[in-house]
Amino acid sequence: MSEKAFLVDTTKCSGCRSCQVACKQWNNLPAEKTKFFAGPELTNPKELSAITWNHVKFFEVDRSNPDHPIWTIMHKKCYHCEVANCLRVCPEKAIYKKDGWVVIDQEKCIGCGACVNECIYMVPQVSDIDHKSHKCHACVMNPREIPACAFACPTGALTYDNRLSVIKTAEKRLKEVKKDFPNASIYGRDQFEGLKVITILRDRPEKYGLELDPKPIDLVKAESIRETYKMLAFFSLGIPSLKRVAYRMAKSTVEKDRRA
Amino acid sequence: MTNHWIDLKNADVILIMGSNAAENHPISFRWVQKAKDERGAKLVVVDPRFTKSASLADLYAPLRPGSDLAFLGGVVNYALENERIQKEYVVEYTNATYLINPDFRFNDGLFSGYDAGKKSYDNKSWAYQLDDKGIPKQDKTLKDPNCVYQLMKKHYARYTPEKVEQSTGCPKESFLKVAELFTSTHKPDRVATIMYAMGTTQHTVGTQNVRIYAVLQLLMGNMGLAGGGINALRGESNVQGSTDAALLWHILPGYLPSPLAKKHQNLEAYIKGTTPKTNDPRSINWWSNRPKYLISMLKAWYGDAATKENDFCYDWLPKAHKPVPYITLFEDMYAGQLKGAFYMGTNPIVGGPNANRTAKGMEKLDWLVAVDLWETDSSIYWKRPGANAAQIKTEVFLLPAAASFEKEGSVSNSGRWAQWRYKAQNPPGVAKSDLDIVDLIYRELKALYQKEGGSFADPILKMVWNYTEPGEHEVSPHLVAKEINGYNYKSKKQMASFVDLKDDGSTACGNWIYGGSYTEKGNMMARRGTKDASNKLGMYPEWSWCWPVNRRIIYNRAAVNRQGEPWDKDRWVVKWTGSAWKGDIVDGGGTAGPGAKNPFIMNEEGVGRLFAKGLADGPFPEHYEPMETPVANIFNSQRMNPAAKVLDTLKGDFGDAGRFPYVATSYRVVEHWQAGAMTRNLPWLTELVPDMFCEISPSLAKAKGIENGDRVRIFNSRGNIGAYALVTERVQPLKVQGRMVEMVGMIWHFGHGCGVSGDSCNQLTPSVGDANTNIPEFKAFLVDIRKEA
Amino acid sequence: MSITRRDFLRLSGVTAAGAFFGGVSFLSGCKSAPDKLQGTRESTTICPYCGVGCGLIVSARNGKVVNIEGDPDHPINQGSLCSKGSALYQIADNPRRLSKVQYRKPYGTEWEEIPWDQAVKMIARRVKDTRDATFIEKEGGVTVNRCAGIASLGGAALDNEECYALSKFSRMLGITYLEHQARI
Repeated sequence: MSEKAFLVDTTKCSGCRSCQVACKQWNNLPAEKTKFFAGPELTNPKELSAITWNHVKFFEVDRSNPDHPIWTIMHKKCYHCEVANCLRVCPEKAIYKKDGWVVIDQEKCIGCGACVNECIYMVPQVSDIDHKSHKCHACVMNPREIPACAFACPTGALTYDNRLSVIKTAEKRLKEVKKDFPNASIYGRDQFEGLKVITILRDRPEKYGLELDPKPIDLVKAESIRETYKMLAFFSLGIPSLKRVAYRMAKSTVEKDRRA
Repeated sequence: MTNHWIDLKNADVILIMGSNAAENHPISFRWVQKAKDERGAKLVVVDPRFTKSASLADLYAPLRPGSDLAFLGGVVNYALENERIQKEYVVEYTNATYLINPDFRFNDGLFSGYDAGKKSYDNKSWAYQLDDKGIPKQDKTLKDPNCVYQLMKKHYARYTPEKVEQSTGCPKESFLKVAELFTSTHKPDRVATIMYAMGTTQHTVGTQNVRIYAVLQLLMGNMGLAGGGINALRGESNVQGSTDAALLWHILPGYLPSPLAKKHQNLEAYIKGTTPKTNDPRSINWWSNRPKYLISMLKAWYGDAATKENDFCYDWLPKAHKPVPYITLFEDMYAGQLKGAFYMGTNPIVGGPNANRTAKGMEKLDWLVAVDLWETDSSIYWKRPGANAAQIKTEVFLLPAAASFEKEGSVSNSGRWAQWRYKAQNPPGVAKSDLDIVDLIYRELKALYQKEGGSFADPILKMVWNYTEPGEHEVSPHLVAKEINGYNYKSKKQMASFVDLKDDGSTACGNWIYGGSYTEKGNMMARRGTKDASNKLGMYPEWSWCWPVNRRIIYNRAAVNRQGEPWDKDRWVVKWTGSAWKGDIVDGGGTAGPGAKNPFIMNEEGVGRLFAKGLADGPFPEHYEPMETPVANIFNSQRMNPAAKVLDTLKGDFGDAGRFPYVATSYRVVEHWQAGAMTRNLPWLTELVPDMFCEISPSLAKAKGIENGDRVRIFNSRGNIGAYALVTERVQPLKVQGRMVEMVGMIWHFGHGCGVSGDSCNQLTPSVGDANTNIPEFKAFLVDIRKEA
Repeated sequence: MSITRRDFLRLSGVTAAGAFFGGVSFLSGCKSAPDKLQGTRESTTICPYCGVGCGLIVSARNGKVVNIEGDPDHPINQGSLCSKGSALYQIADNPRRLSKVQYRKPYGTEWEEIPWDQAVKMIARRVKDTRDATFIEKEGGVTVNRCAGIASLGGAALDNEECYALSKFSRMLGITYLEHQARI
């Protein structure tokens, strides 16, 4: 494991969304066109996208304890899995690790969408503009000492430190949080052999759509996926409209494959 | 703020009420969180909605909009009944022991001296009893039936937990938890802070809502202490500074009252009428210095023309014929009395109450000069939806202004820190700073008066206005800042502080409270020293400069007992060594010790006022319902504040619960700012909140057939607006007097200019104001809602 | 956060040469880029939004702002910002900003652009005419020196020096209809 990691402490998040904007500011990302709210409560846009690499999701308020309602607001970005599906299935080896962070080499990316299909967290997305896949690179491609999102966070809900310290802090914090929220949990210690975004939650991870025990794609299957995408990308001759068709076909092939 | 942002970390209990600080002052939560993490502080949020602040609270209590005084009166009663007060502090530092005129009465919502015809009080019977030396009589045993403590106990005995529940809708158990936790800070070494904003002030009882915070903090002994105080969270970057500079009809810079035609016909009458006197040797009575501050200001403004013989040109100051606060100003505009107006970075069509009426009123103007970064809803009102531009006579000038980082100058934050900022780039095109714009207009006007003469040209021709360095074209903010600080008129040397100001014309000072901000040592507001003071409380005395005299916590004499020992040794703000003070710059001058002088130096009696004679609507805060309310006032038979006046022209402008059954309130979101021009034009922010929306409970949504994301109409007698409906569990109906009261919450950032637009919530808000300040009642009014067809 | 100002100025220590700023393409952030702040001139400012008074660092290259973010030395915000503060760059570079004087004549349906000197002359003329026509020197024997026909509004977003000058200017004219955001 590389030593750095993010700590998302949802018990300290006030939902100011500075992370979402600071990322766009530092990385020169444009705004998305939205209407009303795309997700629960104030969530906007709905999810991560090729131009939104940090996202704040507002969950519905849980009033099961009327004296102490829970409103969870969760920062999400690429989790930078130690064993990353996206990296395993990329047919062009465009996805690699830089200083331990999972990044996409834009020169090599062909926008095939393999990574999009295989990330269980739905992180990377292919842009409609340049037809390449984009996501958080922890500011290593646009370097600074502390990534823009964590640097901007006012309350300490999103911090950046050595991964070991992050885990230690998270475990200590969990003990305190459990006093008020007995189901509180930490996510990211072990999934995909360790994520680089550790999240403290007031309830169990499944409540927030986080899969507790995901299995990394196995190497044989990853190879067959790479071959399929490569072939389809080749036959689409790099023409965006054809590529689109190819992606869709690839996705269905892969999904069929997965079901089998 | 009596304290400052960083000081929030020193609190044991943080009460957020009438504010959603997590949303509107997000960085405050950096320090709230620190208090929680490092001191184990408890955060209490009392709010009609389960807000972002509430989501991080240890304790949340709901209440009906407009019932704050019922709730807080209950907390006062709880503290007094259970003797949870800091008794030594209360006896020494408040007027609890002072005896009130035996004629004082409170009867069913009315204090003695009420004139129903004028809707105002004669406060003669609210005065202290004086001894033969003219000093207020005291009973330190607190037993005299006419002492403030006993009067107060009697007054609030009616605010029982049961009545609190019936009026506010807050369940009794939740209320009691809040009262118990808050009053736990009556112990000398436990401190609570109160963070409040417009949710407190924007009511017909707004001033009394703030007053009762002061009462509570005095009873708990929390004023002057680190982690304590009452802290108004300002909504704009320089609303503190603009108020200090008196961009308000009723004050001159530094909180000197504006002269009134009826009361202050000459300088002598002004000084006599506005300078408080005391015979109490323990009172510092700082406002006895008022003549020095006014005369130094007149000298700074009128220079050589201001002489002792001509009362330093006192007559040149305009005198108002009547109070002309915002609502009155716009009514007079509506009546066609105003011909021209300047709008300096302001958007009243979105920001003020009763926006449709405001827009119609603006059509009566002959000319409007608007200065802004962009088109705003108010500068394009002539092409607003429904208006016929071809029939609107107003000539409009829209002047392009520089942004905050395109010019140089200072701004004062809520903690009174005046901080200097620098120019990073030129403004776009031909845009200029507001200072340059005012300067250009002034110089042109002066030239016109020189050439043509005109009505009372003296102030225009003789005003001191030397703000341009030799050889330069543009105004230097440094020269203005130096005048604000003050200087010796003869030697032109900068004053070190306001202590040396004189009332003989030998000193000039634009705004006395800024004395010390720009001295012979230089621009103190530009300082960036990161060293903390010896008491390690996060005061950072070398960072920027704070008024008054760089004092970071005001009323800090109250942070020690009469012996000069801090109430809490681990959190000491100041301490008395027997001959000198250590720590923060002590209030009222450093030579007098804590036994010799009283701590609340701005009051002529020198102690904190639990009972305050100077208020328009009574010496004790009392609950009254908002102008528009669906429920009865169960504390007295006055429905609304008997001293809050409605202008005659607006009498037909209000609605009742029969027609408009839902309580409405307005608020903000973190992604937008005020009337929206500074955020609705920024794509990164409009991505997050692109549209006007309201928030309603699932039960109201169900009753009205509304689903999340539906378009709805919200309407009352003043307007009818469209919005998206956010149906949320964070809003819940409250049971008040046996029935469920539903609420419609709205953001007020939207209007019809800017990058994204929507209907303005303020088309619905009423033009009725607080009895003391006339701040409009934005926070509790009535509407109806339906799904858009 | 332990980062100091000095560290902040050399965030990455990247040595690659060549100016980098991708104002047009969002893809700039995806490439391994040289220091975004290389060759910039930095100045400090205070956030123009709420009353907390957070510090920010504005980086400009060739007189044009390229980045704005929190000032880590500022004792209140210590580098952090809310979403509004983080978005401030979009005020520095925004096509909706006014760059010319706009004039709308009576009963007009459109803006017209006019030069500054013309605008200032026209405004001063109107101020003078209105002031002269509505000025009240005495009222019931009391000298009031009031300009009854002009109002001035706004100022909470202005600098202290501007507020002071505006306050003085308004009173010089005799304006008592003087209000701003503090009342609302």
